[in-house]
Amino acid sequence: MKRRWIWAIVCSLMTTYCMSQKVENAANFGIIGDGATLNTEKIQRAIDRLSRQGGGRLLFPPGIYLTGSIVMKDGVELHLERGATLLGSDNPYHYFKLEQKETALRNDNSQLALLLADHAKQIALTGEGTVDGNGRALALHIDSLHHTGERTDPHYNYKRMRPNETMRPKLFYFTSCSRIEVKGLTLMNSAAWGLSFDRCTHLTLEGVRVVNRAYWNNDGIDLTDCKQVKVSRCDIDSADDGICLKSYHADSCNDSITISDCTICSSASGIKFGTASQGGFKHIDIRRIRVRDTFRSAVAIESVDGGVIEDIHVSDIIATRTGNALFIRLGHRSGERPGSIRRVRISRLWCEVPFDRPDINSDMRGPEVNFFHNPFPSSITGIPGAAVEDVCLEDIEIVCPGRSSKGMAYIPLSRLHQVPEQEKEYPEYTMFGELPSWGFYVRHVRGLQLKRVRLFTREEEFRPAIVLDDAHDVTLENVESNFQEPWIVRHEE
Amino acid sequence: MKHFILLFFCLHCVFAAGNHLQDWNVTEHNIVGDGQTLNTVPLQSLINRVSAKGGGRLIFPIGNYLCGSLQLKSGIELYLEEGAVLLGSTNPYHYANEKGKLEEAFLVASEATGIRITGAGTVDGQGLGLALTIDSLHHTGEWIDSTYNYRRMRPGNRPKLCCFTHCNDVRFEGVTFRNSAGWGLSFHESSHISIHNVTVSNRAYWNNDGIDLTDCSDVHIWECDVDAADDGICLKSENKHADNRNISINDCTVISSASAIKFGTSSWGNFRDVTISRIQVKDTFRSAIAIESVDGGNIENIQIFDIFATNTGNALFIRLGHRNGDKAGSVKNVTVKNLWCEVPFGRPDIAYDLRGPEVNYFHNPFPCVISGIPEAMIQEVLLEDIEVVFPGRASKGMAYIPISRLQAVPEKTDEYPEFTMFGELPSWGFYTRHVEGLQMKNIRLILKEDDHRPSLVFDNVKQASVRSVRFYPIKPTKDQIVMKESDVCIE
Repeated sequence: MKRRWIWAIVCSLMTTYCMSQKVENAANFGIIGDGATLNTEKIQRAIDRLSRQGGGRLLFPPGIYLTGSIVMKDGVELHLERGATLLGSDNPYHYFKLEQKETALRNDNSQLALLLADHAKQIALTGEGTVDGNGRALALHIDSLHHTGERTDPHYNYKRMRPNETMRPKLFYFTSCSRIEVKGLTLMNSAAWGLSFDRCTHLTLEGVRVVNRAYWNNDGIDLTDCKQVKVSRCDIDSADDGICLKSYHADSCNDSITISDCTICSSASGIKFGTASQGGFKHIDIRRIRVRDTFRSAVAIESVDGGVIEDIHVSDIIATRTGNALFIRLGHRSGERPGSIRRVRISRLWCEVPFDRPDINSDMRGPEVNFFHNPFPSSITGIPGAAVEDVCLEDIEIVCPGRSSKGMAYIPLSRLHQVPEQEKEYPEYTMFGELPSWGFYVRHVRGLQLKRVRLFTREEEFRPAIVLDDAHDVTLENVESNFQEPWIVRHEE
Repeated sequence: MKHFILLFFCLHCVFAAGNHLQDWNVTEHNIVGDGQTLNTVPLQSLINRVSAKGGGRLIFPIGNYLCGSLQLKSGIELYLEEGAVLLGSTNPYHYANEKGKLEEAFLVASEATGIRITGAGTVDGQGLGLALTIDSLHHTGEWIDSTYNYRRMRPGNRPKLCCFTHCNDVRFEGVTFRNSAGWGLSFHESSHISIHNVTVSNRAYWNNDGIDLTDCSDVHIWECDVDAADDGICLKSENKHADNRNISINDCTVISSASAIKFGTSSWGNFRDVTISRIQVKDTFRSAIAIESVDGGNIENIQIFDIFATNTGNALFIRLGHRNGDKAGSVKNVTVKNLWCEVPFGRPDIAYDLRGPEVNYFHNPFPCVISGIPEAMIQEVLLEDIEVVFPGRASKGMAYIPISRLQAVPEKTDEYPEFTMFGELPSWGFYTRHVEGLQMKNIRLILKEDDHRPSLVFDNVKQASVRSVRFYPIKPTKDQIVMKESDVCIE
C-alpha cells in the first residue's frame, strides 16, 4: 500500500516535470518561419507527438509561420517568442472543422478556425508573439470563390454582399476543453469571431491583446456556456462585440466568470451577454473595464432565448465616446417561454455618449439604423408578463449629448404606449425606435434601485431624463440631473 | 411724332399706375399684429376687395400677423415692412377648406396674375408646431390622415408655405420665408416668375424643400439664400405634357440636408434651357448638383457653371432611369463647367437640427455618378474645369466591388434615383455607365487619404474623351482608369 502511494507521487511528479520541462523547438520539426512555406502538417505532427509523449511546449522562435487549421491536443503549449507570428493562410481550402458529437440548437456561427480543439485538456498558448488570422484576405477569397461559382456559399448574404459567417474561419475555436491558458500573446485579424470557447472549463485569459478588425462578425472574445473562467488584463479592439458571453445550449450556462482590468474598443458592444441566450449566465463578475470609441453599449445584458441571467455584478466601468451606457433586455425571441433577469448590480459606472458616431475613425464601422431618432437613453426593459427583477444601479454618472429635436422624432409623454414592445426582435438599444427620455427608459421592471445616479445632458433636451413605465418597487436615492423639472415621468397601467 | 410721344406718355402713366396702385395699411382694416389675434377673415376679405378693384399693395407694418391659409388674388402685393411677420397658425383647422380638407399651403394662389410679396419682413409658417398638431390629431383619432406614414411616424398631408398654381407674372423680393410644415415656395405650371434677394430658411419639418418649380417657364431666381432640410432649389415635372423651360438660377447660396440643386425626382415632362451659375453650396447631405430623369421626361440643354461646394456629400449625380412612363426619357446636352467640391468623410449636416437619412448598408465614400440604363444612354455631357476633393479611406472590409465584377453594380432601372442608389461603387472619383458622348476636360481629382479603388470607371461609355485629367496625390493614370465595353480616348 505504502509503495503504491510513493509510486503515485513519483508518477505525478514525473508528469509535472515532463510537462514543464519538455520543450521542443519548432525548427526541429522542419517548421519554417519564412512567411511563405505552408507549415500546417508539420505543426500538427509536432503537436500530436508532444501530446503523445505526455505534453510539452512547442516553441516558435522569431519568424512568420504560415499555416492552415491546426488542432490543439492534450498537454500541449504553443509558445510564440517575441517576433514569432503564426500567420493564417489566406487560402480557404487550408481550413477545416472538427466533427462535433453534440451540436447547438442554433448553428449560426462558424466551426472553422485557425486553432481548433475538442475535448482537450491542459492546453496553453503563451509568449509575446502573435497569431494573425489574415482574415481580410481570407474572407475576400471566400467571397471571390463564391462569386466565381467554385465554392458556393448556400447562405451567402446578398444584402450585405458577404459570405455567411459559417464559411469564415475564427481565430480560435475550442470546444469542451478544460484547463486552458492563453497568456501574453497578440491575437489578430480573424475572418469571423476571434477567440471562441464553447463549453470549456477552467479557462484563463491573461494579458492578451486582441485586435480583431479585419472583417465582419469580428468579436474579440466569445465565451459560450463556459465555467470557471478568468479574463484579466486583456486589451481588446474589435469590429464586433468586445467580450461576449453567449449561451447556445439550453441545458448548460455560463457560470462563475470573472472579467477584470480590461480595455475594450468595439464597433458593437463593449461587454455583452447574448444575443444567443438559451441556457443562461450566472455568477458573473465584471470589474475595472475601460471602454472607448464603442459604437453600441458599454454593457449589454440580454436574455431573449429563454436563458436565466442571475447574480451579475458589474463595477468600475469607465466608458468614453460610447454610443450607449447600459442596455438590459429580457425579451422572447425563441424558447417556449421567456427567461429571466434578476439580481443585477451595476456600481460605479461612468459613461460619456457623443452626438456623432463613436467609431468614425475605425476602418470597420457599425451599421446605421434606417430610421430617424434622437440620441438614445440607457434602457432596462422586460416584456409584458416577464419583468426584469432586482436591478440595482449605484454611483452611476452618464453624460448625454442632448440636441434632441421634435422634428427628427417625437414620442409625446401622452403616447408612451407607442413605444413598441418588440418582444421577438433582435435586442439592441436602438430596437424600440425613438424613445421618450434621454437618460433612462425603464419598462416592465420589478425591483429597481437607483442610488447616487447623476445624469447630465450637454445640450438642450425636450424629453424628460427618466421614464418609468410599468416599473414597480422602485427606489430613487440621490438621483440628480442638470435638467429642469419635470424630469422623471412615471406611468403605470 | 407728337402724337406718338403723347401716346407713350399716356401708356407710361397707365403702367406707373399699375405699379403704384393704391396702398392699403392692413392695420386700418381690423388686422392686428399682436401675434395672437387670428386675422384670416379680415385679411382675406381685404385681399378680395383690393383684387376686385384691380389690385393694390397691402402694407404690413412691424408686428406679428397670425393667420390661417390665405388665397392670394390677381394684382395683390403683400408688402412686409422690416419686423413685420406674417405668421402661420399652428392650428390645422385654420387651414381647412369648405370640404374639410387641408389647403395646399399657407399662401395659396391659383390662376392669378401679378402677385407680389415684397419688403424686408418675414413669412413664417410655424411648421413644426403645425405638423406636430396634425400628427397629434391623427393619433387621437380626431382628424385621420389617410396618407399617414407609419414607418417614419409622420403625417403625409401638411401645408406648404406658398403654393402658386397656373399663375403668371409673380415676383418675390427681399422677404424671408421660413418654417414650413412641408415644401417652402412651390410653383406649378406658372410662368414669368422672378425671385430676387429672398431668404428661404426651411428647416422645421420633413420634406422642407426650399424652392420648387414644377413645370414652370421663364423663371429667374437670383441672389437668394436657401437653407432647407430637404432639397434646396428643385425643378420637378408632374405633367408629361408640360415643361420646365427657360429657367435661370444664379448667385445663390444653398444649404440642404438633401441636394442643393436638383432636377427631379418627379420628371414626367421636360426640362429645357436651364442655366445654373454662381452657386455656393455648403453643409449639404447629398449632391451639390443632381440631374435626374426617371419618369419619361427629357432633360436637354442644361448649362451649369461656377459651382463652389464645401462640405457636401456628393459633387455631381446625373441619372437617366425608367421608374414611370411608357418609355425612358432622355438626358442630353448637359454642360458642367467650373465646379469645385469638397466631400467630407462623415455626414456634412451633423450640426443641423434635421438631418438626412442614413443608408442601411455598408459602403465606402461615393464617387460622382453619371449613369443611364442599358436601353437609354445619357448623351453629350461635357465636364470641364472640375476639381473634387474626396475623403478616401475606402476599406475592402466595409464593402468591395472588385474590378473583375463590375457587373455586380446593379442597374436599378426603376429605383428612386440617388447617388447612393447602387450601393458600393468600384471607383472613388467618377463612376460612369451607359453614356454616349462624354467629354472630360481639365479635371483634378484629389484624395485626402488612401483609397484602394481606381479613380474612374467607364462601363459602356461610348465616344468619350478624357483630356488633362489628373489625380492627386499623383497616381499613374493607367491604373486609375478602368474601362469595360467602352470607347474612351485618353489624352
